[in-house]
Amino acid sequence: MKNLKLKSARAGKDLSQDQLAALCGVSRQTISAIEKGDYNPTINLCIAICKALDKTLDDLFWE
Amino acid sequence: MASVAIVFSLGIFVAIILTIVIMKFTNTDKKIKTQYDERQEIIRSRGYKYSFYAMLIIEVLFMCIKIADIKLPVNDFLLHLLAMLFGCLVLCVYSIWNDAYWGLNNDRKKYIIIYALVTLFNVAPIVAAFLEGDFRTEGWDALPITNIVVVIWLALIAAAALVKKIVDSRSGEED
Repeated sequence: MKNLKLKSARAGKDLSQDQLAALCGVSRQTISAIEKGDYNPTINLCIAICKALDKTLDDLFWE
Repeated sequence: MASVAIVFSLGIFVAIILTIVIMKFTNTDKKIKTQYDERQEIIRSRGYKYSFYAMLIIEVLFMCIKIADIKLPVNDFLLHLLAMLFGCLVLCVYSIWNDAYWGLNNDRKKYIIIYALVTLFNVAPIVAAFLEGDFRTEGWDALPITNIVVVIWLALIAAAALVKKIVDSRSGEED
């Protein structure tokens, strides 16, 4: 299932996948895979993404 | 024969040292170990599994050929090299196709330069065999088969990377 909340939060911060990936210490393809719903990140990566986007886990990863 | 084994072992030792130096030089953080993110680690773990199975199948195939006493026109060491290269090929292609080939700290440009140099070092003996006329006088035996196999292996990896790049560019950089 696509993670549209993550995609819109990233766009809201005006960040590219590359920039968000650099902030989280992962590859651009990993961010792309999370947004497309092809990869379920670990809780550590979820937290890193939330911190980079100033969001909570509920905001981005809870349905 | 023993001297050949010593030279071969020395060659492998030098290759290991060279690889360590090259890895240090090609990684942006000057670390020997390539860093991968969690998704890439999972993909690569799966790749290593497939690579192991591939190598196993090839080795069993060669074992059957040996048991059946079928004579192949190549040395035994080349058969093991083929199995190893095939295993590595499976890992490389699987990693490339799933975006887990390039690590976070890899300098791609330096990698490509080294890749080109390695290809050149392997193409040189093949060209030399043709130029010196050994091929015409001695036939296929005069050709450096190991180098030919390595060049084909490198070409297959490059082709996989190229196809992946084309597929990615068609589907858009960010999706």
